[in-house]
Amino acid sequence: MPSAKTGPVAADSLRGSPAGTEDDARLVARAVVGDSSAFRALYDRWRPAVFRLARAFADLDADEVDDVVQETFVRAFGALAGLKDAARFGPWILTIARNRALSRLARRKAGAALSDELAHESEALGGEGATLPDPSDAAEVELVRRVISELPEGPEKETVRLFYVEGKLSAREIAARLGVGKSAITMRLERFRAKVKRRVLAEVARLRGERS
Amino acid sequence: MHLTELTLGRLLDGTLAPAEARALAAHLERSCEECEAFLASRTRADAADGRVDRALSALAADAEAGAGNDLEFARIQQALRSGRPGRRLARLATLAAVALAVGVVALQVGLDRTRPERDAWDGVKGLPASAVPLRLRFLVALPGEAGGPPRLEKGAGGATVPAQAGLQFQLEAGREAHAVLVRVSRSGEAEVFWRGSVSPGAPLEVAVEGRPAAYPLEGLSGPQRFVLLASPEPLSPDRIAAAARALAPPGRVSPDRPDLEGLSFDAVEVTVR
Repeated sequence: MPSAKTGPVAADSLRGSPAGTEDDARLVARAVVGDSSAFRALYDRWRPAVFRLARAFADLDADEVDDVVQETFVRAFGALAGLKDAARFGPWILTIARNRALSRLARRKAGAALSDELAHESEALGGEGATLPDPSDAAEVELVRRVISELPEGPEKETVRLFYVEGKLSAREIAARLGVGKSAITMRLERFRAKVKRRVLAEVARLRGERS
Repeated sequence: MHLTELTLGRLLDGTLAPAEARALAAHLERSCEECEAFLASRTRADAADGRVDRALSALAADAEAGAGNDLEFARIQQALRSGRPGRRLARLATLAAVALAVGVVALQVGLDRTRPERDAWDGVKGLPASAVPLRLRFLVALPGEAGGPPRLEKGAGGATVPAQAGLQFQLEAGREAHAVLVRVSRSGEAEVFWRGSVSPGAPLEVAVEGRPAAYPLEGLSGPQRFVLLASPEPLSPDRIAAAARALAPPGRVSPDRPDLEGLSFDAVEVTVR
């Protein structure tokens, strides 16, 4: 049944030429004018990354992960015309996916429905996202590899390797394999992401400083 | 210069003064537990998160893991048309309410279920199907307290459930088809306990005489595999029997088996204790 032909652009293919992002821009342009095959191509290309992102939240069960994936694409496709930089479709839909997952968990904690957050997503992505200095995708992938290599050997590095590098297991499955609680795995992954994000923000700040 | 919501917001929207940006860059290039704790605790994603996740997604060796499928894409299209992205869970809640109100009818099944089964299957769903996009989900109907109405819980593939429970199945299909629900034994026997037609749209709850119906697990033990089989053509007993032999536990199912050619299927497995 799976019919995806193309996953997210691999790190190697990003080097030199952002072919993947150009393809996304063309697909978005076609989708905005109603080309259904372009919607399907964007779905096939980005579904694995959205799925993996949702599976990092160990408190989400398999059905909830599927729901997050579905909601993400519905929201992204519904708001596609508002995307300011079509080449950044990937980061945009991944931000929507993260917000969908976080909202679901927050809703569960609150025990009540939260207000619709699509507007916040649009603010985050159509506004600031469009004006961020833009280091190349390949540079950011290399940065992530560097952060991983700098991690000391231990449970956090093992968790990162299983989840992000091998990419086959969910956070829940890793918890079961390593014999630790689900929340410990989520915490390790979030801690690692925070290290990566700190470095990405450092680069953004450096580029902002250079533009003076 | 530690990160705060204000500083982060100004950095992202470009209103941070260049000198401040340079100072922040110098700070963030060094390890800072306080800033990392701040970033890890945030409950809203921003544009930088998308870039982080984009880079992380490019690492995975198994780039095809989580590939999409026709049924999910059809649901996305349907939700876009209807403008109601969250309908599915609401329907599940409705189903639970209905089942609690009317009670759960035990399905009549006739095959021997005394032999325990071993060798758990991993419960992975979404096996490739050739013609009809399918999805099989289930609720676990647990006995109510003091003779009260049954309690329904969302079922998860691979879960352990008590023998006093029943399984309430829910089917989804991406096109019209003939379908059967079967329990497949280790020896490859097919216990057909529901037969009908499926079509795109709202999920179909298995029912008997209009009432939600659960498959009783009493008398079973160990891993149990339940399979939804579908085809645009009517499913003959011989076809079902041949498919069941190909789908018999233990182990994963290969959709390339000749007996499964032209058939679509999804499967779930629970362990009965």
